[in-house]
Amino acid sequence: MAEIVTPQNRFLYAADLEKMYAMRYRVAVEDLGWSIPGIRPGYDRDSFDRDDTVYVLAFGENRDVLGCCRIIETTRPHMLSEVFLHYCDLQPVPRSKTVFEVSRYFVDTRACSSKDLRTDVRQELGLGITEFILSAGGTHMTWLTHQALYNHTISVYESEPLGYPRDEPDDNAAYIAAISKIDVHTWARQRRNLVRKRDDLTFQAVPLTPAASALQRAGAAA
Amino acid sequence: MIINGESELDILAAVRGMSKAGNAEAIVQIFSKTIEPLGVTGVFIGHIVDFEQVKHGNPMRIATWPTELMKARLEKRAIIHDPVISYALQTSRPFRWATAIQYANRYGRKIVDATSEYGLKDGILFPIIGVESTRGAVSIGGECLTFSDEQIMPVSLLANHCYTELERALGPFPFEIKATLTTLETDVLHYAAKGKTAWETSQILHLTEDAVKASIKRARAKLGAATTAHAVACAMRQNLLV
Repeated sequence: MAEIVTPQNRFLYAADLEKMYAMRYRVAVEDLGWSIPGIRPGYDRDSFDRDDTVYVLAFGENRDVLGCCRIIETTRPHMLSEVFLHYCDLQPVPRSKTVFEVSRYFVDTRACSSKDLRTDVRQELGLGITEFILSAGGTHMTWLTHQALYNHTISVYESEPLGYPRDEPDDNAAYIAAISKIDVHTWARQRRNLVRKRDDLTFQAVPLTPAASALQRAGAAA
Repeated sequence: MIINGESELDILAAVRGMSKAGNAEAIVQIFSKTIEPLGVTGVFIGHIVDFEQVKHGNPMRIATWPTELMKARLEKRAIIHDPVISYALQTSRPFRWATAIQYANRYGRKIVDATSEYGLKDGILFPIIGVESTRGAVSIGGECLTFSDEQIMPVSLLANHCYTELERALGPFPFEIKATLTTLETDVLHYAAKGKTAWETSQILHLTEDAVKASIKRARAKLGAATTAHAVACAMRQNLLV
């Protein structure tokens, strides 16, 4: 089950966000070996975790946070514009009210022992991202990730690179920045894929766009 | 745009072109044409799988290599013995064929030599990695490639887009069908894997021996296994036995 945490409903998720920061540290620092400046041990919360930041959280039994991601507006300082500008050597860094940056997209592989569960969590996070961005009137998302997740993401969203892959020697992987189109067709496809397996989707933390609402009504009617 | 020595590649235009191409032939053509200045005369794009475990459909295998070579490779089941393919399963990084060929056994070297006879002497393989495992490969070759190390990553980007667009255009890939076993079927296979006989398992699970045998039979059928040992092996490969 995944839920969208927005500035409006954040007061309901204080404990969950604390768990998320701890999970992010486990994945980013302990598993992936990232070096993140300015965070305290065991707690990955940086300057992009602001009051206006949106999160998608995937929960397991006992409300453990199995996966998460962070969504921020690109009209304000974001990771590509402030930290990873050098990854955008093919196209300028997008900055627009309709473009949102997705970062810290993590699945806790320690908590998700089976491939099926990890796939479910990825799909739930993906749907949450699409649903939030559509609901907020967005049309695109930007992101920076390693090759494996890049391949996964471009198979879901119509995407193009913002720059060439760059090797990160500490991570033993090449990282790529990209921009993806967010539309109701992708949203409907993602939802169909999940609804086949699940009946407990609890998105719509924020109102859907009229087009998305219409699609959902059509889906419910079918 | 990359300007590096003599070769100039417009990666972004190629990515956009492939996403709008709509059919496999056009996607491969855009990809091939874009990397042609680097001395590439042939491309192979395909899934890397143990074909014996693919239960329906055909894995993707697209190549601009000579038909005769493709046919010969299929007959010799080259994908199993080709040192370049074997190496691709061990790394997530692009590598030159020569890196893999140095580890080839006698039969693997024959496969390599047969490919060389068609003018494919030098090449680079780009493993296509997914979030859980290596999915496939894009292998490009020619008489003598004029790649600089700086050009490998941009072409890798292009190779990954080409592969993804082909999968999109050709429909879902027939991955190994994962069996859905009941708890009892999983349990009986679990004890079979521990070397228990049907009678011993029946004592542990408080069932009749016939009930255990029937469960094993159902599990075998679901897994497409010929014997109980085969069923255990299939279930383990699919991570069904925890």
